[in-house]
Amino acid sequence: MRSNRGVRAGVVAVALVLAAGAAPAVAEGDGACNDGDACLYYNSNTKGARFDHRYNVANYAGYTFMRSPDGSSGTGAPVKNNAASVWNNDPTHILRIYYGSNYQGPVQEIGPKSTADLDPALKNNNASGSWTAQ
Amino acid sequence: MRPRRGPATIALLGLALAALAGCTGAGDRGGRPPAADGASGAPPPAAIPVTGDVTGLDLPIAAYLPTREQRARRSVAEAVLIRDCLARLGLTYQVPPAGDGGPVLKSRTERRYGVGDPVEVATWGFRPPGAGVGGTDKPSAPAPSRELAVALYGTAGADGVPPAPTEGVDRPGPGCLGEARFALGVDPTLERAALPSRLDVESFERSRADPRVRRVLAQWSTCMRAKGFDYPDPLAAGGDPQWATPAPSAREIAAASATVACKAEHDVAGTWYAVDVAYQRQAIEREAAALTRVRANEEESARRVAAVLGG
Repeated sequence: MRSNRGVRAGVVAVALVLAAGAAPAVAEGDGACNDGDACLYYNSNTKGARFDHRYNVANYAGYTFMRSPDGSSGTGAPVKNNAASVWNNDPTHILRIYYGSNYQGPVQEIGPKSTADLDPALKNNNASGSWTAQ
Repeated sequence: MRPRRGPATIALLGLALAALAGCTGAGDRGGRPPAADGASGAPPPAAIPVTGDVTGLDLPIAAYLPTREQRARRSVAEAVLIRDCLARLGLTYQVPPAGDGGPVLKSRTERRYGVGDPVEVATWGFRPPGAGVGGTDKPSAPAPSRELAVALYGTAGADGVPPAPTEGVDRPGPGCLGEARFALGVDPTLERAALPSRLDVESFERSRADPRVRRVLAQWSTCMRAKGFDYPDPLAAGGDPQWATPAPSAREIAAASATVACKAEHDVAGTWYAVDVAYQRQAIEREAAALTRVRANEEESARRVAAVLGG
């Protein structure tokens, strides 16, 4: 049941990317939290399933959490409005997690090479994410 | 139709700013009388700025968040300490400066209540000016070598271990980065609790549900429907998945322009901002003791940064 939902969400993700006319970037959601990535976790304290992205994401809709070395809880769940904590694994950029899609609404900033639990009002309300220089 | 900018507007903006600085006495001298608030228990706003765009106005919580300049100074000090630490290990490395990131917000209020600038939306629709659609919009420094990553972070980086929550208070975290942050007195437990940020998002949610804001949002929705668009609020309009195209369509630009026009017509940004500010001031009072600790930690950290940078 749970994994079926994940598969369907994955199909939606591909469809959205194709509809947008953009080639899926290899670094987005490759499952590894590489140097330079933003890594969103399903559970607090950077635990559970994870979703990684390297570039700005105007809408987390369509992406799903993947099993990670930090746990499998939430595997296949949609990333949008489901993240509880974040690891900014970029050495120089600040990560901004927005309440609204398309970089709107209030924002929580996570510094370079830092982790944070999302603010209670933002937890399960993460809609988009972008990078900014200092 | 209300003029968007004029002497009266500027006077009202001044009042709002005075309210931010803590001078509530002048609050009702020129602003529209705040609507009665029976149910929400929120304090009345001091004054409601009449404006289509509140980008130039900051929020009270900003007083407890490091400024852009303070953050930049801290990261320079961090880079100095990291360079010295690596040099002791016989490694040469300079932390690269941050390149251009994604869209840089002019202020915390720029897109907080949805888009607001009629000139920007005419070209960009709902997207931040200059924004791409993802893909390659962040320059990345080359990943450090394995040897360097271990020295810097205590792990090889890729799929490494995220920093532990308590590192930096009683003990340095791993690697030269952990050592540098420990030396600069950045308390990650305060960073993680992120109280100012928490209050900032909380006041937004409360103000969004406040009857005074709901009233202008309903008026905004009616105004939008007359122009052929059906959304509950400006954030929903800007977040419509149909805008996920490589470039803004004519319809996106029309919807964004209508969003801005209807916001201005019903003073959505001004009303929302004033109520948001009122909730933040209430929260700042409630959390005064904790915020004092946050500020003390920031000040201590700033002193250490200054010592590293030589004044």
